Amino acid sequence: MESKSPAALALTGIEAGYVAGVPVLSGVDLEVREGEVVTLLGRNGAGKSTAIRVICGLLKPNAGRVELHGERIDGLEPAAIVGRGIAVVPEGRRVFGSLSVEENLLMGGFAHRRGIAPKLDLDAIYTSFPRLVERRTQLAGTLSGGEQQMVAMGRALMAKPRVLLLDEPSMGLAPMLIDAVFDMISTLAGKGLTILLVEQNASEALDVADRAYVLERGRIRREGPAERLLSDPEIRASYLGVG
Amino acid sequence: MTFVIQLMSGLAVGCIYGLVAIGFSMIYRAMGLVNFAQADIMMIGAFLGYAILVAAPGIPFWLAIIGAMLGAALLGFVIERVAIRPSVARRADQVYLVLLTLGIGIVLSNGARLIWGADPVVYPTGLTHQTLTLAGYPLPAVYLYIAVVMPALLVGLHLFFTRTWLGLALRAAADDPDTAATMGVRPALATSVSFALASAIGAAAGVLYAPISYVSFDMGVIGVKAFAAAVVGTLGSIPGAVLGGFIIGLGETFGGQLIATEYQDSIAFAIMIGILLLKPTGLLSGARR
Ligand SMILES: Nc1ncnc2c1ncn2[C@@H]1O[C@H](COP(=O)(O)OP(=O)(O)OP(=O)(O)O)[C@@H](O)[C@H]1O
Ligand SMILES: [Mg+2]
Repeated sequence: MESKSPAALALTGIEAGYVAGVPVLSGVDLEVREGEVVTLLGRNGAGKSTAIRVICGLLKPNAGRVELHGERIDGLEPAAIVGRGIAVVPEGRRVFGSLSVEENLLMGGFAHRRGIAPKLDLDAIYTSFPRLVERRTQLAGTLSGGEQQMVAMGRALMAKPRVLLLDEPSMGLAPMLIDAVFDMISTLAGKGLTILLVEQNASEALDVADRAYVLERGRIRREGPAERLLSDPEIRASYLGVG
Repeated sequence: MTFVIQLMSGLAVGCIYGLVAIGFSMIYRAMGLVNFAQADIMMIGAFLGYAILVAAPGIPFWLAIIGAMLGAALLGFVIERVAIRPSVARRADQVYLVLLTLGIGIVLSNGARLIWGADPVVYPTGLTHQTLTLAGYPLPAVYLYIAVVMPALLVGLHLFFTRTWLGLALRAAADDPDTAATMGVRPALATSVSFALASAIGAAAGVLYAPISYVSFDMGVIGVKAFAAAVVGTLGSIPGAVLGGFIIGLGETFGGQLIATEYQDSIAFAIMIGILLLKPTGLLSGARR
């Protein structure tokens, strides 16, 4: 049942870490095909955010390669990688606290600053997140967690990515807002956006995802179609809190 | 001295402190660093203005200001690249970085002494001795330049930081360099540009201060008062730096008159200590920056 579409994003044999001699990722292979939603699951400290940092270029891998549509991007500066079409909603949202909501969104379009596009794209973002319209001049640091998550997502979309990386977008949100976040992800997936979703909220993530990987102590332990992992007894026991 | 002259002189020197304080605040915000070389960069700016006025006699004063700003911007850019960046990249502790900036300041001041000598110099321009009369009071003519350049710089900075991509990128990188990088900002370039900008503003302060003071390798000592101004207004805040500059400038002018001018410098610090006792994070902490 292997699909023939080319990998939008592929990690091959990635080794990475922060301190010499302490590997955080060991031989990670991961693939996200065009138009696919892939979720990367794992416990605290498994190395999920590290994988995201490697893809964005914030952390140089010690070995292995990262390819975007067949072109190597490891070794590029983060600023160059966004230009190739990768945007990220970082863990903990990381909105620019002393910038207004609108300035945060505009910053998301920084890579497209040479045109007038970012100003026009704002309207589309406000349509998706009407809540942000009334907050546009408010400092992002003073928003609620849910509103900050909207800013972080809107900001990433302003980059008009081909591949969107989401690092625990549901973290710290009330259940209703968690649903809203996953609805948004489904909507984006419906529009054909390629998504890599890091989550600890395994059941919701597996619901929206096509395929999943499970990271344990820096190694990929399991991978497969989302439905299969959802019904896998071992996954159910360790990640879904059932069985 | 009458009240009006005092007031004008306090405001004028307050503008100078405010401009140098803006430099402190901008760099503090951009890289969390107190750059004690800031006032020596102001001093170099004052000498660059002097060099321009000597090299091109009769050149309009505002051109000397712009020339000094451009020269200082280049110097600031180079200092950040060559002297500060390598230590930051090796994750030097803040204490060492602050000591490093003190060292850079000493190098700059000794460099100026080597080039321009130990004796104070006076700007070879009519502006130095010129006075203008405001409502019957004689005031140094350079006050007029201060009154124009200060607001122009403030408006320019505001527009730069809120209306341009580069300004927005500098603020974003100051908030969170990694996240800004994932949006296409090069944080290292952003800090260099912040340094260049802070240096240019310092140079403007130096050239404007020269006609009411003197130009000498050791004029950077006013940096400690500008630092007090930046702290009073909350380090990192540009409006705070301006407010702090006026408080220190007016405070030391009137305070010096009330007590004795010898105590002017101590008054600046008495004000700082007093304000920090009441509001330890400075007057504009929590406000929009
Ligand atoms: N900046 C850093 N310096 C040193 N070690 C780090 C750094 N960031 C993360 N680590 C270590 O790398 C390992 C993986 O961290 P990572 O943040 O990738 O985990 P994660 O899977 O995202 O966890 P969580 O679910 O808690 O976000 C952890 O052991 C962590 O302590
Ligand atoms: Mg994480």
